[in-house]
Amino acid sequence: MSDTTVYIPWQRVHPISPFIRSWSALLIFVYLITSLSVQTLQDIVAAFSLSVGQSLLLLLVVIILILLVAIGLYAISWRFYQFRITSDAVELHAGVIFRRRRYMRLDRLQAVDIDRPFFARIFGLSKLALHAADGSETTLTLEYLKETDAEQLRREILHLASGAQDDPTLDQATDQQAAAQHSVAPRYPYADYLQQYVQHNPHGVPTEVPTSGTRGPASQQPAAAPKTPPRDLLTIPFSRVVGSAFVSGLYGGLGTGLFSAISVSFFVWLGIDSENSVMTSVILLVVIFVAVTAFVACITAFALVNTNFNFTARTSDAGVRISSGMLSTTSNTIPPGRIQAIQISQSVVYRIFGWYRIQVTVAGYGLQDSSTTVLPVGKFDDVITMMSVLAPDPGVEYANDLIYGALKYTSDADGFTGVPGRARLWQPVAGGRHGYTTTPTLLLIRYARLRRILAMIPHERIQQSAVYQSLSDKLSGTVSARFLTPPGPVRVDISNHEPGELIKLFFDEAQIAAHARRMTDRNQWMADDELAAFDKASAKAAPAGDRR
Amino acid sequence: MKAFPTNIQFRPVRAQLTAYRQIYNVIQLVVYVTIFGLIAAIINTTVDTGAWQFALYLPAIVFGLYYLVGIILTPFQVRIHGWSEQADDIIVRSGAIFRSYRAVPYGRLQFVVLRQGPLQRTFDLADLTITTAGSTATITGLPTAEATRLRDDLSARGFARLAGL
Amino acid sequence: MYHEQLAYRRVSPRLIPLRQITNAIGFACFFLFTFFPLVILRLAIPEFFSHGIAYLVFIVPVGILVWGIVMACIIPRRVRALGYLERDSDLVLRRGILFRRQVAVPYGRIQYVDIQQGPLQRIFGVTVIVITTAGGGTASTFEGLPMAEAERLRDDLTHRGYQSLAELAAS
Repeated sequence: MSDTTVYIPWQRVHPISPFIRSWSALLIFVYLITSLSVQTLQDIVAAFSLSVGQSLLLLLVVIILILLVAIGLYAISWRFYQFRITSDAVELHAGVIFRRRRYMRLDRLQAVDIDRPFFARIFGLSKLALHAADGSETTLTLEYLKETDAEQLRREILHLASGAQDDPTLDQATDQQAAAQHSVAPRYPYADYLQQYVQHNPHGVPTEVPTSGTRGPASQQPAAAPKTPPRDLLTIPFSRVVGSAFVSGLYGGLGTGLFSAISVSFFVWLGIDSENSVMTSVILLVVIFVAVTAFVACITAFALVNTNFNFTARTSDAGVRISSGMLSTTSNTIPPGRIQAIQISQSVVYRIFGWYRIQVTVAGYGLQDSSTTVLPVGKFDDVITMMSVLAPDPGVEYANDLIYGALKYTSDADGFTGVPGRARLWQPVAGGRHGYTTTPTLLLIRYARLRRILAMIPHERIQQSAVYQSLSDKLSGTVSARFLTPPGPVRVDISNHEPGELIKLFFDEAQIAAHARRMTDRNQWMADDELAAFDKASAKAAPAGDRR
Repeated sequence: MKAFPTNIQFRPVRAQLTAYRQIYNVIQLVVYVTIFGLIAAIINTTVDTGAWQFALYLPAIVFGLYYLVGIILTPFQVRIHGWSEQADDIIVRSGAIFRSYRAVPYGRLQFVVLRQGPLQRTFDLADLTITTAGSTATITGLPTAEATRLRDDLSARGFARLAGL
Repeated sequence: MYHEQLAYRRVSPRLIPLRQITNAIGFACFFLFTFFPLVILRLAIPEFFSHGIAYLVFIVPVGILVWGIVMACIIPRRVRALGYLERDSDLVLRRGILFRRQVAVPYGRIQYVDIQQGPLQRIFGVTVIVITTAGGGTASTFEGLPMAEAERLRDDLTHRGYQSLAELAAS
């Protein structure tokens, strides 16, 4: 696997990168220096009685000197940032005075992003970011590379990280060519899983599923790992992006507008004389309210449109790829098995339009960024389409119904537990809507009544499970539980439940998760030896019992 | 939490943990009560605080009560604190009043930290922290030999599972 | 647990002079920052020191000086207390004399390894190894290995997982 005999040369980022990375700082710096120098220059001009031409020349010399120094410093910092990708690792040498050498095995890869900030885009450059499971930190940032180089590097890295041992030259081909070359049935038959999600179809989800051969779950398919043709999952229409951005912007703006209008007019009302005070402050109130609301709404809406413009989700061997953006674009790839938890949520505003948002916990992203949102605004069909890739095996045939019911609260007997009556005091709104259910592969937890939140954790991804009693539990004789995952946006706690229920869950979870871990703990998702170990483990393990 | 099954045997931590904790509790009790009491006394003697002079002792009283409760609870907390090694995970039990059970799967363990301060050494106590991606669980007051044994076992069991997360 | 029969490997002894230098610089700055204002105070407002008892404020810089000297004395012992041990399934790092700490990291859990070297460390030929796991934080920052040894250790750490994987698949 490791092929260290071949010398792999070190590479550097594009030479123009330092300027793009700090163009604004550079501009300010040059401006400050020159504006400072004007004063000094005038003194010099006066002292030596130079002509206008001579003083202009002097100014030019100063600017050129500064630029030369800056270029020199940049050249040094550029020279000392080197990286290389070997067959099993990525290495980085960075730093001039404080040197740093980073060595990351490629099978530890959690996600790969290609970002194109607006300014870099003008120059046709991209930023490549590799994430390992180190919290919100970016493990390796290559800014900037030529767009084609970045794409090429990403393909190479994902190929090496997958551990697939077929002809790497295939990867040189573009996605379309790859699609044409590989009409074989997929190793990860997402399409079939989508079918699993939509077998019962009472909610209008389209039944025509892009099929590419009928095969069971991956565990039943040892050896020969043919490639999955890349497939588009969904694109969010521009109208919906704008609509949701506007609605969200307005929603956010209303609060800010109201707050600032009331506080400002209150102080004005205190300050002016009594005669026309009421009229003035009312007018002021309205004006400020409208202005601030509109301002905040516009800014937020534009930012959202900019981020979510042309939002596209695709799937291939390398996992899920999410790309979006108008002025600045991003394209994030999450390889299979890197998703720690999923959360479908619906804010009060989204409920009016029947929209949903999906966020995921990925160890490489942490809490931080927008990368955790894999569906900013989508219909229920889109949710199911995404779920078929994010959690390819829901473990039950009625996954569609389960998720639909969990979000819509179609029935009280939908399989979810609830908070017992004596503890409703602590959950006044959510009440009976807060609960959990399990499938052979997922633990589903539902929160909130006005907003709607459904969290899903694959059993094997639980890092720690705890049952405990808080003060409210002590008072009402209930128990709470917490299922910890790596830091991320997904909520994973169950509050105020019947003690017997949660303690049973605590022990059941331990067993199911142990079984699931044996089935799924793999680094390289296509390596032959890992697949062999995996298949061996699957053969040994007893089939998962349906717990429902 | 009466519903928790009783057939799971929890191994207790060292009883000397009580003595060690009580030393700290008493020191903190004395230090905080003295400091806040002194401050209140000095203020009362230099400034005429009138009706407020008793209120100034409130912080000292609150701290005193807090550590007093701690001193009362500590023996119970130590008696409850324990761990149980299951087939696939380790369960840590803690809390005298607010009980909690934490299960950490061996296959999710990232690293194990063993700590020992000078006072702990005289009581032959060690703290073991089990860290996973996104959570920690600590067993305090293990005998040193047992802590080392547990560290090695956990670490080896963690290694047997392949994936990095 | 400290003197268990495990053959911990020690770090480079050249870490001692390096730590002495950084310790000396740190405490010298600390001392001067407290000492000079007091000297200036003495010169500017002599009345403040009319009571001999006021000279007690000089306890602060003197205390810092003493603390620094004590730290300097225990540096060799602290450096000798640093140790690492490569076992079958994990790497164990230990440190501390009074407050002892041992970390065991299973090889399979290592996300990536950094080797860092600042200018002073370069002069003394030692490095800092930072082992990052998904557990977050700086689980294991380890100073004092020479560059060659650090690179050897890093390569070993990062390849042990593969070996075990192959063995497991073959079993």
